[in-house]
Amino acid sequence: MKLGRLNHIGVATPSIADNIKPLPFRGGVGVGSIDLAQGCGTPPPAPPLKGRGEG
Amino acid sequence: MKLGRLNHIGVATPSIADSIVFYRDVMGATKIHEPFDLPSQGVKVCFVDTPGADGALNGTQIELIEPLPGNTSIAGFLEKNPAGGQHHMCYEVPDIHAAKAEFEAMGKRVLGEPRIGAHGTLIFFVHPKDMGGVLTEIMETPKGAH
Repeated sequence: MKLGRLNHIGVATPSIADNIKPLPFRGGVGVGSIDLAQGCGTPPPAPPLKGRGEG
Repeated sequence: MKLGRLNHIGVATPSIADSIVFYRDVMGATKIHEPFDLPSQGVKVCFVDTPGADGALNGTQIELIEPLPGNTSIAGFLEKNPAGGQHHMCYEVPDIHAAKAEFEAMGKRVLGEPRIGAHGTLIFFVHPKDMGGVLTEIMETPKGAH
């Protein structure tokens, strides 16, 4: 036998989702993240805009 | 932070000499480097080369680690795992100080200041509890490598 390529390292985890969870959305092209729940690069919902006479 | 090349897997062993025999005779390793002491880390190390994607011996290395007298961390690991076992994973980065700052900004516990590692470049470790249970070594890519 001849030592072959080290193909991969198995890493046990209680949650794969936690290991690939998205980074905080910071805006801008390519700065988003893979969000398993919302799809690729989906930003979080924007805060509600305040209408006239509010705030 | 961008994931860099997986430079090596650290494997703790009670005997590098015995591990060399294993990797040579059982696993068929064809390139096993000369073991050497790394007193600053309290260990003796020996690198075993594995093939990369192109078949040349430029893939992820296996770093055999044996404690030198007085070493506590690897000796402690071997107390729990007398036969030895996987100890850490090491990724390369282009700039060690920038990487340290990024890990710290993310709240990861960096273990000590960057210091010279077994490849002669600066390294640091990140606490396994902050790294999904994996003791993680970060090393600056050797100049002229790859």
